Amino acid sequence: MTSTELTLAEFARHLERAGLRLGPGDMATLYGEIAASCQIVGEMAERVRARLEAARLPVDGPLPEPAHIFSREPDHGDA
Amino acid sequence: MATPDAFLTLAEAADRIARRQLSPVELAKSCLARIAAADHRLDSFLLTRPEAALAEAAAAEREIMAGRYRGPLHGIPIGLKDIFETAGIRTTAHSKTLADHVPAEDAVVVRRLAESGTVLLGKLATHEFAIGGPSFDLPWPPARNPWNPERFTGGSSSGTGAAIAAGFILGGPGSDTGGSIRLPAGYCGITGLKPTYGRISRRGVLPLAYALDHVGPMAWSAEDCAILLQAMAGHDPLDPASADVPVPDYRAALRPDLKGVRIGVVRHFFEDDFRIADEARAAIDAALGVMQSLGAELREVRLSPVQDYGACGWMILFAEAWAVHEKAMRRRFFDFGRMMRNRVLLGAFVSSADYIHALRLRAALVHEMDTAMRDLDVVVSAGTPSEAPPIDEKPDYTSFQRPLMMPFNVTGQPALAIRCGISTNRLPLSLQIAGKPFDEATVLRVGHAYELATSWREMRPELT
Repeated sequence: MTSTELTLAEFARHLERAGLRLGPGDMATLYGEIAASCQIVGEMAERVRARLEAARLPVDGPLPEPAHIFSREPDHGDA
Repeated sequence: MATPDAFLTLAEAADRIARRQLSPVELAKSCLARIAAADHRLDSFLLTRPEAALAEAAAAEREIMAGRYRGPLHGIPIGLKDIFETAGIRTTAHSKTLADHVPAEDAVVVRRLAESGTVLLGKLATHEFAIGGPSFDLPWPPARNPWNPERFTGGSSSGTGAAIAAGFILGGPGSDTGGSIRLPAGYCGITGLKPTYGRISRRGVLPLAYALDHVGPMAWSAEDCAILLQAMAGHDPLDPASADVPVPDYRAALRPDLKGVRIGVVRHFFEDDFRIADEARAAIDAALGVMQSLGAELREVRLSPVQDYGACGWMILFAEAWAVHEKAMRRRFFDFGRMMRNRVLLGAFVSSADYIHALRLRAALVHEMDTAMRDLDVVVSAGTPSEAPPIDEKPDYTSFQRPLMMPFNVTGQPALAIRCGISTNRLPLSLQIAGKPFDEATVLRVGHAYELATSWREMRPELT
């Protein structure tokens, strides 16, 4: 998602696609509670993309590592 | 064997028990009495088990008196954050959704601590499923800070932080996905270590985000954490993240000086990227002066903005937490507390591409940190951004924009939170010491030397 502010209708459609079934009143309450946080999440996503581009790791390029596995190399440390 | 003095550290109690000068039964009774007298104001425990604990303490005492001393955790009272599964003992994650959950098996770290001879006093409060904040819409109230019960403990290992600071227990394990050991350690004025990713098994610990979840020790001092880490660390082939790396003798590596230790100060994290409270910054500067006087060599290092680390970590955390909880949230949305469900739900707004990009950025940030630390032993940065805020302060959903803890979850390196001062309101201030992967020994050494050189460990909260 982007940091563009979501409308209530977009917000509801998104959550319904995610499988969350709420009544209109509950959805509106939820929107009021977390819409601002959703916007911050969007800003963080943009920051990640921008940082990757600045690091010359193109977002459409090959992955630098198997992305689903994170494991520190034991020989990185002194211990 | 004698009864305990008030407020022994774990190391002090262990040494007295080993010399048969302190009775594990009397120590457990003392802790249970303190809980009975004061926990109604702190709400750190969700469940106590006094009879079972006293039976365990009696068994420990019999073994010790018979010459079968297991080591420095033998007869030591601990508590468990209620996301650590315990065979036959309710494990709720502080959630209505697991209110009746009684696991069949112990988590690996629970078993290791039990085999070391610890005495389990009970299960401790947490943020619901280790995320959210101090919630008042759950079946149990949130833990409160022993330095001032109107203040927040930090979380999510909130009950553990409060119970150790209050002297209810002498230590225990916490979990840390974005600061959940180090924040409560900082706000409650204790010491907490997030070890290297993979150092301690997470099997049997209810997950928050697989790629960021760490288990680590919390106690009154760095030496206490070293003792706990010794028992908790080690390879678990059934935890896919667990690392098969030798476990050194952490307590033996502790020294009173810092001669030859090279410290990098990541000042821009807490001065330029995000400005912490003035008295917190002054406390860090004073602490750096102490470390220098102990023989450390200091230099400033510059990394990516702390917000880059934060964005990377939170994107991973949100995506994975949603994956963990989506099924239950679809079915029982309103059975979760508002703070937890509103935080976890943000993961539904993270795309698969966003998640993969965050993992790729993580690799770049790990490389950046490794490069920066090539000629350093540890880096020091801020811990908590200020003294503990009021517990009933309106929930701040933008708190993830102050990610002082998250860099070391992203890199997976060990990070220790220690107290470095007291605010004008008599609340603890803290800093972080982070080391190279699997070099917890040096991190603990720096924390221990600093604690020996200062008087912060001698100041306990007054439970009135």
